[in-house]
Amino acid sequence: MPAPQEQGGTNGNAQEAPRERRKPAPPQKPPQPPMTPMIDVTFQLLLFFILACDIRETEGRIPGTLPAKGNIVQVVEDKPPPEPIRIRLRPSADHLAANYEVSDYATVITSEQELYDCLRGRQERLGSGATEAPVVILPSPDVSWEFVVKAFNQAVRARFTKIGFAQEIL
Amino acid sequence: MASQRQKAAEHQDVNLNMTPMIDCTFQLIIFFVISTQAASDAYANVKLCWPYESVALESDVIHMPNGMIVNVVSMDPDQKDPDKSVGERAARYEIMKDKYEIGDIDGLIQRIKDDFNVAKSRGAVDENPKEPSREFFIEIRADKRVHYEDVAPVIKAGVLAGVRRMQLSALMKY
Repeated sequence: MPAPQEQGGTNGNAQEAPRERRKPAPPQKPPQPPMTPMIDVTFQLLLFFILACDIRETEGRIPGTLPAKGNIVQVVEDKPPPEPIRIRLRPSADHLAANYEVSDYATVITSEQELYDCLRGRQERLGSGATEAPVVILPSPDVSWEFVVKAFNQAVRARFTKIGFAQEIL
Repeated sequence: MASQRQKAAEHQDVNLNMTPMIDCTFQLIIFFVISTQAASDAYANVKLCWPYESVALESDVIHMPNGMIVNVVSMDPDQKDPDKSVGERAARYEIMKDKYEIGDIDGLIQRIKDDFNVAKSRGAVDENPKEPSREFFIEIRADKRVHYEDVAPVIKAGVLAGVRRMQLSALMKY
């Protein structure tokens, strides 16, 4: 007679220890290069540039020519050379501005735009080849270099090609 | 209980997002590297003028084998003296690091001739140039406040040294 089966008993697996569920492995982060030294160096560079940088304004050059050494150029042309346009520079009373006196121009010029307009007007009067007319800037000794450059700039702006400096004998 | 611990651990693992900060930092570094002008002995500390409607042209002055810069330095280059008339007086001429007294025309003439000969020996200029780029030039870089009488000797020295090309330094407008 076969042995009676155990009723209500547990099966054979019940004797084994309950299987432990493996914890899922944490997701692996992609390997990263060490950022700290790079950031250190970067900030060092940034600090260096901020402290050492001396921001300067952009410089430019106004081109010109100097007169030939020695004597006056002898002109061997039928047409007489154009009369030089003389720009006399004198400082204003407070030395903060300059007065420009252009030859054959009655009004004393105080602004650079007016000086430019005057030079352009003179060009129109002279007609063709007017840009070849010599422009002589005669600053008084005590006028600031700033106003000399400004006068020179306006003459170059007006497309005169022969611009020179001279000093008035007072 | 376990979930609370897990949450606490997650909170501890807070990371700062470094990427935008590094981006900004590199942007700044690139800006400084590009915008910084290298210091040069050719440039003395002078205040240049900014003419109305400036027609100044840009050029690569640091590398100029066919020219020289003559600086006319003010007695108050940093504009610190309350007496403005101090800044209107020129202290000296400077060519690279060499200093010349105001009015020392002979010294300037000799220096201009020496520099011209150096440029010629390097093949940067011609005796009778056909192109402007082959002609020797002097650039007058004077402080805007100094009087014309202190700059005039530089012009005179250039003429007497036989230089024909001249440039005046001025600020540019963008």
